Amino acid sequence: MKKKKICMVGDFSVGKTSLTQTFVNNVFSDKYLTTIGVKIDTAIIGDTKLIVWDVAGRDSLSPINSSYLVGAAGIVLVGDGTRENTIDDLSIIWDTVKNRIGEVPVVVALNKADLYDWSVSDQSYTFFSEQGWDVFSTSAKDGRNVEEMFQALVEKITN
Amino acid sequence: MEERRLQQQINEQLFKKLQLAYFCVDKSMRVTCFSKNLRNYGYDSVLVGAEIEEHVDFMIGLDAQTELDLPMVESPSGTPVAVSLLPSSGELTVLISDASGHAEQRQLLQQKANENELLLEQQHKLMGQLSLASKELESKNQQLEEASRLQTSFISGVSHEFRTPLTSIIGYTNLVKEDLLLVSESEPEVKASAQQNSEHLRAVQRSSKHLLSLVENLLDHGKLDSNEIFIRPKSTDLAELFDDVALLLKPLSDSKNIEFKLDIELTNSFMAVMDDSRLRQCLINLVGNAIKFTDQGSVTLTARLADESLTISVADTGLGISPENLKKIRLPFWQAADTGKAGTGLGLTITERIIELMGGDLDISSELGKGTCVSFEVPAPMLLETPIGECSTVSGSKVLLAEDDADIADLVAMMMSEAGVDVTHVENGALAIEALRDQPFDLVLMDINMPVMTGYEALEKLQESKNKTPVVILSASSIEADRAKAESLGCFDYLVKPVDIGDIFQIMNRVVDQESL
Amino acid sequence: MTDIESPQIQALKQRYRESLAEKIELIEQQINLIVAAEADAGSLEEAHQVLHKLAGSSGMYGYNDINLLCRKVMSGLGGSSVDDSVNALNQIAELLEQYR
Repeated sequence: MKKKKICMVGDFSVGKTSLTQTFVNNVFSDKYLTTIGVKIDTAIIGDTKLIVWDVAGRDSLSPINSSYLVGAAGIVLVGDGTRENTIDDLSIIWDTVKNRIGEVPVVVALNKADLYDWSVSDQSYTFFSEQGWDVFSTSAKDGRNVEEMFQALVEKITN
Repeated sequence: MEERRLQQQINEQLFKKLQLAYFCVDKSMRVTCFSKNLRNYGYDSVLVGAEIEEHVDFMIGLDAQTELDLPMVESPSGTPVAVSLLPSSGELTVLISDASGHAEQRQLLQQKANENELLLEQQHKLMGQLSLASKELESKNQQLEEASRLQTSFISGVSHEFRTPLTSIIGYTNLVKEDLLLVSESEPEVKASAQQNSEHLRAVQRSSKHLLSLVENLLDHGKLDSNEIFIRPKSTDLAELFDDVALLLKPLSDSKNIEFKLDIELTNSFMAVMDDSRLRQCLINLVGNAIKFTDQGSVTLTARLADESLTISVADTGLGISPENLKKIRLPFWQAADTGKAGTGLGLTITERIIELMGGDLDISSELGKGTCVSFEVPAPMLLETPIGECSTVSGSKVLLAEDDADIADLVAMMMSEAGVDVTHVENGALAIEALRDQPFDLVLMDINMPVMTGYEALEKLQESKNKTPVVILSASSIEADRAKAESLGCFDYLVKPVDIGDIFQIMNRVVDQESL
Repeated sequence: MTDIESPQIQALKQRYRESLAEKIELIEQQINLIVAAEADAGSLEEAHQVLHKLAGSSGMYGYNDINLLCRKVMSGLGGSSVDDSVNALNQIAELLEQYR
């Protein structure tokens, strides 16, 4: 079985851990618990064993700590659909990723799609499509688009 | 070879002491050696010769040349570990140490910091929404204000246009009615039909008068809205004023078979300085309302004048007002739906505003089925009877009198000069402008209807030349529109002939008071 | 406010009383004009002016009944027939006559 490392990156409290836990263990908690360093989980999609690196939000933003990215075959850029600044930050995070490991397959997860105050600007959508990234409005809480998002990334990696 | 084994033993001792675990891989990422304590962290399937990717997840995607520090990774045992990858001569040594010591502390600090920042973000967002909402409200408010202003000016305009034809309808109906009366007296054979026609005319008149009062209410409301109603205090005979009101409203109460009681106590003097016509308007309105909403019993008008203050109350034994309606009753255009009484719903609003302008507050108390009592208290300064000749502010002042009627001019001039006023008399507006250009005056008394240049034109000219001398208009017209026109042209006051010379002196005192402010 | 009148004011009042004859004449002229012109707008306008002046001065000199009557007639002028206008003016002239 092929093993592929992917990294969940994005601002703090956008739901990287929640998305990973929903995907891997099918559990969700409303309680916010910040991640320190990296948590590593595994899940199987088709004939691929996915090693999911859930990177702390603070570390996603810091080029010094970009060592976690080394060896990643794909990236999930996670933003909070209700906090515009977390979406704006994704392009900066992507620059850090590119500098460290070059261009790898990417999907974008705009999380918390279950909430009402959705505030993703048209410019953001335009930017993502210019980059050729698939964008998913996900909800770790109700599970929408979570599997689809990981599936899409795996397909990009294996093709 | 022996040396290397020795080195390895030393290392192992050292690592044990430092609580370090380790493993080594060759170029093809197969395990060459590892420490036994590796399994303390949950990496318990590692074997020499095995592919490292199969046994240690964090090694996936890495090669033997990678030099890397991973400060904090959760190991399979759940313990956070620090990992260092140290490549040397084609081999890779990976060191693993326990990082749980400061992980816990970092977690706490980071958690707090993130939560704080989230709160700040949320606060920021809310503030943004709040300021957006308040801006929206502000612009809505402006739109509403503009709409209301337009509405007011529209209503005022239309009401004004209505009033003139209505006045003439009422006037001509009156004439026709009088004619009919004469005809029926001189020609008895048409008496019956004349009487019937006269009944019809009375109906026309009643309706027209009702319309006129509605229009006048609308006009007043518009003026109050645009602050165009002024209180003009003058010496007022309160006893006469109450008699007037009683005389006017008695027929109304009689027609409904209810008693109209007057309880008037005017201690000291009954002359007070008040706006008699506005006070009359308020009284007529309040008493009229009381009679309108009372079907049996009585309406009592109580007045007390004491300490330069006039207290009025109007109590009835009528329908009363429910507590929820009592809240709405002061709203413009509001009318009790269940009483079936007609009106504009403006009377009380106007009355309340006028009382406020006079310096009082309208108080309404009521009990459903028992009756209503409205009351207010307004300042009523006593008239100070200063002998005119001794009035220092009047004596010695210079007044320009523009009046074409010699009879009036001579009389006014004479009375004023007897009070020590220096009067200059001219016959028309143009001469008045000339005189004002030549020398300063304290006051101008100006007729409207004059040859060569009317009082209106003269006022206009003075406004253009920025001459600030106060002008008091003496007009034979009591029509409100004429007064409004003169006021819009900047006159200081407007007196209707026959003018009481005392009123002029009062105005002169007011001019001096204003100038000394 | 002026209870005691000065001789000058009394003189003015006397002068006004004496001018009543003139004023009656003026009104009679107006009556003739109205009759001659069959109450056209011009003649009525002039009568209106005369009454306007008379209303103002008579009031000032304390002839409240003249003042009131003038006002009443003024508001009716133009809305009534020639006869009515003439009658009304005659009424004023009669009232003035009483004070002569």
